[in-house]
Amino acid sequence: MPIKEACRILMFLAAMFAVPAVHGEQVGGVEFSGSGFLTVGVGKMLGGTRATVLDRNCPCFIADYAQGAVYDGRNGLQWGQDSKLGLQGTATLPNANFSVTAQAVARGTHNGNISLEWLYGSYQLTDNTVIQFGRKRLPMFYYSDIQDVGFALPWTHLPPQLYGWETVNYNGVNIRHQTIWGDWAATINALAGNENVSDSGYWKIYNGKFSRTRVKLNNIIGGDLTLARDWFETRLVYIQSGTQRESFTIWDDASQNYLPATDPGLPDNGTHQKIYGIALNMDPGDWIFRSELLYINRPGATYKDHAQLVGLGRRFGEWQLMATASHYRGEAVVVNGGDPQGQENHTSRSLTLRYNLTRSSDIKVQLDSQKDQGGPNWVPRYGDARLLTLSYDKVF
Amino acid sequence: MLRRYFLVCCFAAIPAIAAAADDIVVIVNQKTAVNKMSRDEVINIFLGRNRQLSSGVTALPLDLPSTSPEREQFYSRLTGKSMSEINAYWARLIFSGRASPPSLVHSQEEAMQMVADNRSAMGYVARSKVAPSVKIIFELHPE
Repeated sequence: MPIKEACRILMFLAAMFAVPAVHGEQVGGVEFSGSGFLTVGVGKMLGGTRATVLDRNCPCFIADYAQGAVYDGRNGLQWGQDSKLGLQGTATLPNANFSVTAQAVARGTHNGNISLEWLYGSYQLTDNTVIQFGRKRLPMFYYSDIQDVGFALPWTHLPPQLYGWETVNYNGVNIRHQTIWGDWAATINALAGNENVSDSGYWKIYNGKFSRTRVKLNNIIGGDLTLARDWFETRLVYIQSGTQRESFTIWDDASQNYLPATDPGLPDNGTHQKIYGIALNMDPGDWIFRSELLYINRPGATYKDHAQLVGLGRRFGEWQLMATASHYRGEAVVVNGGDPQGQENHTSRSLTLRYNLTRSSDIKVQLDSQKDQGGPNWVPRYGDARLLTLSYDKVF
Repeated sequence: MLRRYFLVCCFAAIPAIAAAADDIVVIVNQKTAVNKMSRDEVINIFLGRNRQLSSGVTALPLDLPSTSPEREQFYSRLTGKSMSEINAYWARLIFSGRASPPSLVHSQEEAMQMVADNRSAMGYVARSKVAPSVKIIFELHPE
């Protein structure tokens, strides 16, 4: 049996038979604990713009840019795009204030192939300060850290207009400090590192399913600040990095084949992309309010990114109903050759009903309606889409 | 037969009703230099936002078992959230390495004992379970 197949089966069995808690077992002075998450998602395309876009038959709904997860125009149910299984293990040396954590995720959209998403060491400097190093999630968004953990999300998939970027992880170091400012609990996190991604799912959406690219983020520096008081939480983030993108092969409509790319990509010219984000979230009583804005400016690029989401929901016992709107707009940078008529622009509205089956599992049903508002010269034009998704989420 | 079933149900429900009717109190060691905490301070400790008491002492929060009615009452009265929502909140912190959940104890008696033995420990129990060896610093009354 191939190792990959064996790992997949082991992860599945672990998910099925795992106890619903985080437990610690001591072996030779080292404490081991394990936990995991599972999402089984299924979607049905209800309608939208019928067209062939690159090498896809649409209507198409992009559920996850970073992983290249797209619900397309095929008939019947589609299971892979939102389904995933993750296992996390931590080994702790209690007396040394040190631990190592690894998290592996198998995704339906990658045919169950397993990727190591997190692998980092943590050293507790003081009660409220920890330094971590290794492979971690790049904290661009409020839900970046748990984008794979369906049970912790109010949606079947994150609003793609905001949660879409070419890289989601980084290799480096971060230091996090918790403190109290008056009546507010503050968490300050600073990070530095690099990232190198081959064949990012993000660029497969723009260049074709089998396109080849390489993205490098150099000298990543940034931080985020979270302020929380009772049911109110706000988060500010700033990240900058050198950025470089090379395209090797892309889909060519004229020949209906993959050809060497003529797009020069984004050269590493020493300039830094700057990412700014803010989230305001509230949970007073049975009400839920989610909002987030993102702005990215990359000197040398032909466009800037603007994205936002707003969501309002209410709980009724174990039921939860939530309406969300998200919007992405590319802003042409004319001096760099950007075409004001050729910018990406789309909006999505969703309605999500969640029911908590147990204290650690839920079932969600979500209706998405996506509207393509791209400029007349914008390609690839995925068009409009209406999608129904159902998910079962569990943590253990 | 129906009457017997009704009586069995009534007796089975007594622990849950007792927990719902009793105050839930937050307790610390008698020697801890903190005599009172605000609701926000208790939320910050038990939701992993802060791990120090105002005196500067490390806070070691303790959780009762997930099936304990006192645990459900504690979080419901403190945050207004159900256990599913609290678990979803902790899933976010656990899978991002941002914080560790409170240490798990098996019973209110074990929570009492740990608090009595450890100056950093902080637990919650029904008021009727409180012994003189610990100090009450916050109270949650039935809603």
